[in-house]
Amino acid sequence: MADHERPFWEGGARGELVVQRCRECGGLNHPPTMRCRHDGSAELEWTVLSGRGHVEGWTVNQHQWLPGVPAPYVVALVALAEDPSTRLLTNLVGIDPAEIRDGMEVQVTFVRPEPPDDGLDDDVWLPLFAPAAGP
Amino acid sequence: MTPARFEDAVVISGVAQSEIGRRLHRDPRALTVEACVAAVADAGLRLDEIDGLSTYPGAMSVGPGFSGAGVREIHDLLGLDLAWCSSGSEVPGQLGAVVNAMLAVAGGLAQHVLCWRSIWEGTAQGSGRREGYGAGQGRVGGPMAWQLPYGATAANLAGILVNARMNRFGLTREQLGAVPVGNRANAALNPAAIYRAPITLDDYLEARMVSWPLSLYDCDVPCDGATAVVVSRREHAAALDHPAVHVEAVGCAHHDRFMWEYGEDITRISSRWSAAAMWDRTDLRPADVDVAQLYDGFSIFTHCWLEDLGFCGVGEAGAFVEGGTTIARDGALPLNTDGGQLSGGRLHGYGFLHEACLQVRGQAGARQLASRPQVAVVGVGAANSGTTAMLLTGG
Ligand SMILES: [Zn+2]
Repeated sequence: MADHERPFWEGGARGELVVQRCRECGGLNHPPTMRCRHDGSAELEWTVLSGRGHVEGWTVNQHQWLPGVPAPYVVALVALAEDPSTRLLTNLVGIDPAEIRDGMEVQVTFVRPEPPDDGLDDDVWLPLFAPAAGP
Repeated sequence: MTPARFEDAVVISGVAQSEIGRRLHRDPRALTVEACVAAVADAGLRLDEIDGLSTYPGAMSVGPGFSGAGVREIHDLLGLDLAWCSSGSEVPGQLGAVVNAMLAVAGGLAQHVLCWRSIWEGTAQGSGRREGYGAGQGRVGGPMAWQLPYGATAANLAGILVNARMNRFGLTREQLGAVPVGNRANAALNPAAIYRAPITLDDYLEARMVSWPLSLYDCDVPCDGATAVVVSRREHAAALDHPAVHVEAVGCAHHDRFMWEYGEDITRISSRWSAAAMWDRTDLRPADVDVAQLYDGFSIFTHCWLEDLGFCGVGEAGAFVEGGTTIARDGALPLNTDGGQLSGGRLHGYGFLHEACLQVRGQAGARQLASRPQVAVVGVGAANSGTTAMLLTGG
């Protein structure tokens, strides 16, 4: 895992959605970068977000592409509440796929996948999203 | 003084394809040599007159059967003396290798550049279910690190694109079926196509879902085959025994990131940039185009190309293709007249260029359009690969 990407994957250990933000322009950057994609600044920091967002796009996968990853599952793009122009590719969980609607509010939840047996000690947590609790 | 346009300095002098099949179990280098030798003969050249080579993606392995032969292999197998060569995958779409050849010829580095795209995914993927790229690699880096943990493959990203267009533009499955059904009708006239039996819209609607709302008929079919193209100095046109294919304009621009889930707009692909760049280099307009060969690795990509090339407005491609009349052989804009990749096989973009050249030469055999098209547009590539748009003319 690249050093400039590590905080994103490790934030889930604390239950935190951690995304890169530019100190100069305040814009979010994802996937993480080395220069702000909005203004080229090197002044990037990690910020803890609310974990809220809305469904910008989704599909219900029906085909088993990868060993150990059985279908069906929902692959989605979630626009982040703090800056909807920044999105995460993720899975939607805890919802019947037929109930998913464009723009529906979702909240982050984390899972820690079984790591490959390759001796690395990366502590990766995947941010997934589930329907947000009602108001 | 207006600077010289590289397009004006070159012609596409020869095109050819190898045997094409779902699974040929042949050495991909043999397929590549077969196509290359035939394209050189079509260009009216001897092998020893070829002084440049250019290919996509070159010797590499990103997935089983993705690359059939690199520059050094073909150089060695054909025994050439080179003035210039190039290969690689980090070009503006698969046809970037052909653009590189045009630039080399126009710049005087070579006289005749042989270009090819060779693929053997049919045989290499075997008879099992189609796997996602990156399967079995353990930890992954680069853009796939943001996809594979979520089980996300290209078909899923295409499924998101289809669904977003349904939600935002009112695209229907009936409209989405028009390109697969139309391509299949065209493939019936192409003896080299993989699937030639007609399908109906009902067949399409009943197909197995791969990534809802994207179904099996929205996905191209892995195959084995090679396509070769020769780019020559314009002066060579007079020596051909067939009409030369002239290059009116090329567009290669790419403004988004090379990660299609992180583009500016999830309803669009990078054809929006290359198509605009192409039209900036010509006085011709969409209404001047007689035939279109537009990438259909997934059927939804063709919709994006139709819109971005200006044949209809953004979000209107569903209505444009609905019913299939407009894009049929006798329609206002005949589309993917060899069956495209959906029916013809995943020749990874070069089948479209091959077909466009044959149609403007009037040599497409049983599928030659009676209208004898003189202006063809080729749009190849999709999202993360970058794209190339090419406007070709006959005579
Ligand atoms: Zn910034």
